[in-house]
Amino acid sequence: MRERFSQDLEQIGTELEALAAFVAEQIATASSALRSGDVEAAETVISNDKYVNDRDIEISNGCAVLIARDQPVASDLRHIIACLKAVSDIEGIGDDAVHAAKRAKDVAGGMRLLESDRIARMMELGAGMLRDSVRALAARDEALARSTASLDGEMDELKRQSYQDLLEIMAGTPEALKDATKSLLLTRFLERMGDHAVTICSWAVYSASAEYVEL
Amino acid sequence: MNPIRSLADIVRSPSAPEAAPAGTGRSIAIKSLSAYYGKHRALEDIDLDVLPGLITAIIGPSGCGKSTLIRCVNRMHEVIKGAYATGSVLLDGEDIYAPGASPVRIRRRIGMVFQKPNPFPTRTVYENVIAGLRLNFPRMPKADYDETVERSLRAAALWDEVKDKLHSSGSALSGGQQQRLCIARAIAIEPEVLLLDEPCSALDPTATLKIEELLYTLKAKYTIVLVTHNMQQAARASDMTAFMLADESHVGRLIEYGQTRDIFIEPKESRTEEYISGRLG
Repeated sequence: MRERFSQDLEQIGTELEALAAFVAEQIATASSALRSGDVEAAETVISNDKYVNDRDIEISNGCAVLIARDQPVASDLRHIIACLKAVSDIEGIGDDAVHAAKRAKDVAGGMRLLESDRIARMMELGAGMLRDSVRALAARDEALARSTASLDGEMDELKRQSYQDLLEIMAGTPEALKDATKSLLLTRFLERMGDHAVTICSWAVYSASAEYVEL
Repeated sequence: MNPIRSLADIVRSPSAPEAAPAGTGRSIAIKSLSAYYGKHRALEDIDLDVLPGLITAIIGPSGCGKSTLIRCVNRMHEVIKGAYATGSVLLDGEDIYAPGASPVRIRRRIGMVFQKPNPFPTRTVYENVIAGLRLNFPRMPKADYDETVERSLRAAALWDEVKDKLHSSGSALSGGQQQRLCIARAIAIEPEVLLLDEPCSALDPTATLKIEELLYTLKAKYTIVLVTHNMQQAARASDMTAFMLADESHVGRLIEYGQTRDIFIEPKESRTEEYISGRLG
């Protein structure tokens, strides 16, 4: 009886990790599409988002079934709640990847992506934070959660520097205003991936220690 | 029926010790209590402060000494041949094991309800309710008995269901009604404490919920101790939870005691966690 429950609980973690891996792949695809202006790749990322949304609902339902069926308590209960909360953040990061894919379509249509190196780094960082935060949650690994959350400092710094440089471009080159604004908005969406990942890390700590901390 | 509770109330739920209104119920301070059946020690060194005006659940696997513990609280344990207890149990500061303390008087102050509804089968509903009262005060005017019967049955949330069959046999009632009849019988003598030993284990979910709601209304007036095997019941119905466990030589000990919300969300002891999540043994 409890053996089945333990397996099911583990399965939720496994599915979260699989979903995180899928979304990380979405980010990577969007990132290379931004560089190459590959419309087809960008479209794939956009259409794949339905799968991410569906998995969010399915995993949430799975958590609801475990709560109703097995009436978990203590660390099991905390873990299910943490997974239930985290899956929304994974889905949110998926939306950020879609935003990047839409900009990739703009690039294909002639938009000049500014701050492309920092943007590429932010996407790489976001994908890594996503994978590690969900891995920390599934393994109830508080140390990994805390170290992953600490990477958000680099993300914020990249955003800050991009913002500054883009403002200067906007001020000095009015004809670049449209491209710079779109690039700026993109960095805002990418920075949010880090925030989502940090929230997942906080839920991982909650699962492991019963304490919810803003990381 | 109950006032609307804010989210803060719910999170503190069911009600934190500090939320207990002063002056309701009686405290029970169990100090260094050990209980024996002849040479076998069933309980060792229990220290437990049962707080007034709250429902305290006692949970633990079969044979951990839960029932023995509450039977010590109203001196029912010693009724078994060879059984005795050491240590003290203070009811509102008064040691019920003090030399000269009268077990009969103590049992009048501490009502008990058992696992299987046990109304006196040959007596009517009415006679069941006043059975204890007749024993203690045989010469009360009938009007006083009538008043006690109605008051107790109302308090036990049974009046509306039985007011037209007060003079039918108590055993004709449903299981859940019989158990509420036993609660009415226990509170008819106006005890200060109500001990319930798995009162719902023979009842269906609807009857169980009725008993739990009843306990919720009664806790304003009585200190309630609820022994239960049902984890969800402890989580739903109690304010405080005590977890007991017996070792290999069947000696029962108190492992953890705290607010129910803490026990069920972040227990401190790994053995508590293993038990409440069904992983012990």
